[in-house]
Amino acid sequence: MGGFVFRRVLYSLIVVLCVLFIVSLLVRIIPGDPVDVMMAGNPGMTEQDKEQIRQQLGLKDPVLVQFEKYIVGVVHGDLGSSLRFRTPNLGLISTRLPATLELTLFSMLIAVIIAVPLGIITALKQDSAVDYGGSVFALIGISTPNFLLGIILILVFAVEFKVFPASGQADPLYVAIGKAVTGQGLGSLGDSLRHLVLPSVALGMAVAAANVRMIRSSMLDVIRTDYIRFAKAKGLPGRVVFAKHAFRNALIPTVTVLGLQLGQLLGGTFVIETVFAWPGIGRLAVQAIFWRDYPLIQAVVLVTAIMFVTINLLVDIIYHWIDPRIRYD
Amino acid sequence: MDSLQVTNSAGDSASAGVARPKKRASLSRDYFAELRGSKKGMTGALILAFMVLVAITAPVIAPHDASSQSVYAQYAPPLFAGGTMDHILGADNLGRDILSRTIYGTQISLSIAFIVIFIAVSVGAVLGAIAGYVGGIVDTVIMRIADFQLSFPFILLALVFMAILGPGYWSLVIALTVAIWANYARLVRGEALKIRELEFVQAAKAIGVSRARIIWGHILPNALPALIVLGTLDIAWVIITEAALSFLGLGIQPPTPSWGVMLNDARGYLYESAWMTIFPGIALFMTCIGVNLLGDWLRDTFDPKMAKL
Amino acid sequence: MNEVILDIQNLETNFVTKKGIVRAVDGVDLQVRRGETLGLVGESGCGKTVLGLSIMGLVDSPGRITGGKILFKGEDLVSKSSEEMRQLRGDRISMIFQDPTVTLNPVLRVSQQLEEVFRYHRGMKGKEARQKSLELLSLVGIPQPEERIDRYPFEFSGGMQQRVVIAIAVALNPELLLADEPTTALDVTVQAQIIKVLKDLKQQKDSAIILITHDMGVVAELCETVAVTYAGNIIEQGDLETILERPSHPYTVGLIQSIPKMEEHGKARLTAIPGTLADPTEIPPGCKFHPRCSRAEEVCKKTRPVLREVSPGHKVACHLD
Repeated sequence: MGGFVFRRVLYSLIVVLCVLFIVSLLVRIIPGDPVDVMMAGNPGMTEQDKEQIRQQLGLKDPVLVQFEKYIVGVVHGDLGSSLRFRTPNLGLISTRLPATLELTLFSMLIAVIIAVPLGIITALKQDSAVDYGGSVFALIGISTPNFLLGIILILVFAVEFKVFPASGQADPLYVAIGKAVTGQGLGSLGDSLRHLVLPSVALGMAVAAANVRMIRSSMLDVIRTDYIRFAKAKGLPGRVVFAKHAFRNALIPTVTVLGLQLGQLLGGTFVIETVFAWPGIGRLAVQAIFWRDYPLIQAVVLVTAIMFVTINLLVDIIYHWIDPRIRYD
Repeated sequence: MDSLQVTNSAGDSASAGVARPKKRASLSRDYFAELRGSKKGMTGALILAFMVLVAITAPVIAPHDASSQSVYAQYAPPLFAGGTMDHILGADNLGRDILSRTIYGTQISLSIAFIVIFIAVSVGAVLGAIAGYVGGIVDTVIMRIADFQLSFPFILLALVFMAILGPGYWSLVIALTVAIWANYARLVRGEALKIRELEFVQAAKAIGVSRARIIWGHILPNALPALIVLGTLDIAWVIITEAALSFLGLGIQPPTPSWGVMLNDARGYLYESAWMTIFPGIALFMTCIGVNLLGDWLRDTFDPKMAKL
Repeated sequence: MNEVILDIQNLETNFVTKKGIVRAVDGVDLQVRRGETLGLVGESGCGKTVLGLSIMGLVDSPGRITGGKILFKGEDLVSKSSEEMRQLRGDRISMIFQDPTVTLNPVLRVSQQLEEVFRYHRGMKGKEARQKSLELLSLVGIPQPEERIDRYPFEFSGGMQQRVVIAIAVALNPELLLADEPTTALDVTVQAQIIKVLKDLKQQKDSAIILITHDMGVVAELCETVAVTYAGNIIEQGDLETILERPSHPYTVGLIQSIPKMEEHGKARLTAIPGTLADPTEIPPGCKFHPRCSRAEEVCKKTRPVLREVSPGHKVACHLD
């Protein structure tokens, strides 16, 4: 197992390095450089001044040298500085990262809470009305773009019925939980959750729908296996056959794609954060693109890539734990 | 998988002896008859056919020009909400006809989807076949690139590309193609590896058939069913991602009437003019439903192995 | 003679399929006595497994027991509630399946799968259940059980897995053990080992065994009595010697002839019975075997023969003598 983890970590590092390299390379290809962007609002600047700044920023160095400098910076925790905010990118990102993580994890939670029971019920009641309803739900779920669902949710639950706020974040969840735990009342937690509901549902619905299908089909496979028949032949109570013998096996295929799905959700935050004015790094990235703030784009992409790769790494390790057959390969 | 399972779990006894209809794809199969027999597949095909028809005939059926503005029609409600025949589905903040814009939006959505899928499938299939058949360093290089891409969120990749290429139709096509070609490369490579060692390919090789011919004549046809299934299901992804990027302002640029652009335009008027959101939303949703229904049917029919994907 | 512990009367189990109703078990009569080992033989697909599952109460939808009785020590299993059946299963009646590599749950340790039998039938926990499990593993010939008990099934060979399955099945000394092709999926040498395990068990416990198989060789090694099935019916039943030496039904005759001769050891040529098993959705009228029977007469095409005793303990369902 140790060797496996080591190999996976190494591979993850290589992926991150490649991302870094490609993004830096691509950013260099774009017509116009950071100095042009910086000076866009400053027409008094002469060509000579610009040239000087370019020199200072190291933009005249060969690409590989620039890349090396960037890597060295990253290793030391320096992700460069934003052209727009004139502050280090790391700070900009780290203040917004918790909001994105909160949204991503919460929508994953919602997706799982919806998908696990629905997937299992539809499998156990195959071809019933419940099953049919479940597959209609799944079809609608995977056919609705997350931002469209977001808009519809706002239209219905914020504009029409006014049960949930249309946008923004209240206290970050960890702050709200802290307040609740330290006896400052549950109001803050309730408010945070109310703000979280619509964006999380909009983000998590497609994943929930995909999981309903997957859990249903793997549950159907599992309940027809010989080992389930043998478990019944042993005279185990139905709940034991289900909980101990069927459930875990049926979830294995889903667990293997959880990493991909978290990545999908993370990608989805770019759109959902914009729809709900959610102060995370997805919205920051979209804004950075409009501002042509390339160092910031680069930093956000790097951080997202690292998160994505880490998630995949963790899921692989969990998968090895849940399915002992893989452990010894 | 190939046989009709008469009983779910009762084992050999009840199913043996029953004539087993072949379920594998073969040229002699009448796919149209099968499609007509499936409610799901037929619904999907009809929706998609309708959308394609709308896209092709857009200039004829659209009552107005997609971008012509009219001060008199600003915020005009749709017919059922007290509007006039002139703007059946209402008009937007600039007085542009929603119906016409939605109709032209079909053109954008479908054309991008078909172009992207066509290029991605072609490029992916050829590279995958080469990787699988030739092997060695070529295989390693191609598949490392593919692995790398697959270990990275699509949308982020597309976003970076859009940031660099600048928004627009063809940037979008490139970004989306780059984001998905690897799926097909993987699929075809797997097929190529399987088939490379089969007797008839070995025999073809022995009698001096060229590599290109083996790839073209044997490997690609075998991978075709899976490619069609995956390609169809991915159309929905392309349509959704195009709309999402355009919605963010990073894809198709206004005033071109992409559904994503229309939905973005509508954001400020959610309360007063909900129809600006509803109709492009319905068009987008229905197209995806159609594609997914058809794709699911294709998957069940062509390639039961993939049923779990 | 020991008492009859299992008495199946006119049992019918049907499967409703798109192509029609499949009568997998079509009026079976069968008796098994305490301590007896009965070989249930026939071509694959003739309803043997479904008969076994019917006794266990494990016929899954779309299958259903539609008629007849299964009297187990005088109690009708068909009319028992699912909870009553559950308590019976694994305790007084248990079953071994064909392919040991898919019979054990791949993600649970062998110890978990063994101990749960004691836990849910006897309320034993912890050390007690573990001790019992270790004894069982020794009983079925697994060396160093202490080392192996906490492993996963895939770390065992096929033969070892079948030993584990057998251990689980006999854990609570069932009065009736159903073994469905217990050796078919295994290598020839391993088959011999498993047959030995079953033989030893027969001597130590006094369970009645129904051995479902298409392999007359295995029957000859283990069974005292034989019942031959064809298309969902028992067509001949008698003690081993009678069936092997003086088979009466033309189908049994064909089946016996198709056994490769033991003394020749190697794979002697099989004499196949011409034709294939009838399509279970289109059962021929009269005797179900008549289309394949070389001796079929007019009466065979019209009337279905019933099982009748031709000599003490020897029953045949055939119009011919």
